[in-house]
Amino acid sequence: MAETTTCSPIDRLMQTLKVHVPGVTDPLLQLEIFNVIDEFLRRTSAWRYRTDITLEVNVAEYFLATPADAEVVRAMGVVHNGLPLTGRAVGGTGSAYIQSSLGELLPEQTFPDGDASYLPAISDIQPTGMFTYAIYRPNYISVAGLPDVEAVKYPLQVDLALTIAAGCVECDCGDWMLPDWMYPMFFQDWLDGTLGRLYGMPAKPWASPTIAAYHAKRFRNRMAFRKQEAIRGYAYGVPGWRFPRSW
Amino acid sequence: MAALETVGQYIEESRRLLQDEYPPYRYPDDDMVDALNLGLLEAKRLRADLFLPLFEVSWVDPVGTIDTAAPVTLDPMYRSALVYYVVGRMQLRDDEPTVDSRAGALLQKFAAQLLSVQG
Repeated sequence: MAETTTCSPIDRLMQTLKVHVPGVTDPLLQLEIFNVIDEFLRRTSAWRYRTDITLEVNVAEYFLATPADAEVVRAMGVVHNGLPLTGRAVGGTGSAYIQSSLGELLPEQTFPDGDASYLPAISDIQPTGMFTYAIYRPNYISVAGLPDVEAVKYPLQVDLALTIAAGCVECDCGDWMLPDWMYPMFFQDWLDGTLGRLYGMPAKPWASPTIAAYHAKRFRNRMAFRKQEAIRGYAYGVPGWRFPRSW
Repeated sequence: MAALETVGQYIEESRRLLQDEYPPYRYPDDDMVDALNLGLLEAKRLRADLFLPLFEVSWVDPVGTIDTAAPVTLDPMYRSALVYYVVGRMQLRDDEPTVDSRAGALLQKFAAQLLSVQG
């Protein structure tokens, strides 16, 4: 009888993949699992994270603090003093907040091909409040209208969708600090996604375009389902929440 | 059996297949190290994923005294394929005890083991 060993949450996925994909190495498995999880989380917003931001008087921009080894995908919602705030469209008015990925680049600040003509690292230094660093810094949030003394009494409650950070590709553990509940819940989804990618590789011992198409299709279907499920808080039969709610 | 973790172990295993285990050797160490270096480069060409995450290829200096303890970094599943490459490359040379078809078969086996399950 085999000895009992302490498993990491990702072991089941690694074991299953090694059986299905003869000749694959651990580093390649970890790379593709990372890519699949990243695509999955970006598409579905399945990793939700809520954080409070303490407002300061006359400060419009705030850093979105995330757990270790995580990156912001998008802001799913922002609440202030019990009231949901609406996202501000690019160049729009009458809005409440902007998650930085919705910011705007001014035409005079870009080259003809659309690339920014300034260093991304310093592009947020804009005392006018003009939002210029959007595509580079999705981990900031900008409040339209400077908070006053009354507004700073209540924190901004931000609901974020996260993904795993790119720097984790070289992590040996392969666990990437994801919440443990995700591994069993999304096991089949991530298995299909990884198999789709691995079987679709050219010139590999395990390459099979037919099987790759099968698993990739299953993965896409599962992502579509999980995207809807995540919006509804993983509860069955609950309608998706939209603002303004029609009551 | 050699674990095929160091240069010396690759040379030892290759000599066993070449029936060249006792000095004076037909195939000098530096030639075998050259073949080993080339085999690793070929492996990277065929299967770059074997060299993740940094894609660094072990390279052994064939000049002077060979460092037989130098590690050769390759996944254990593909180490025997590298031995076949070294042996096949040695037998490509035109000498009395070798047969061209055997050399070709060994080099093909190296590629086949990297690129197919049957290998």
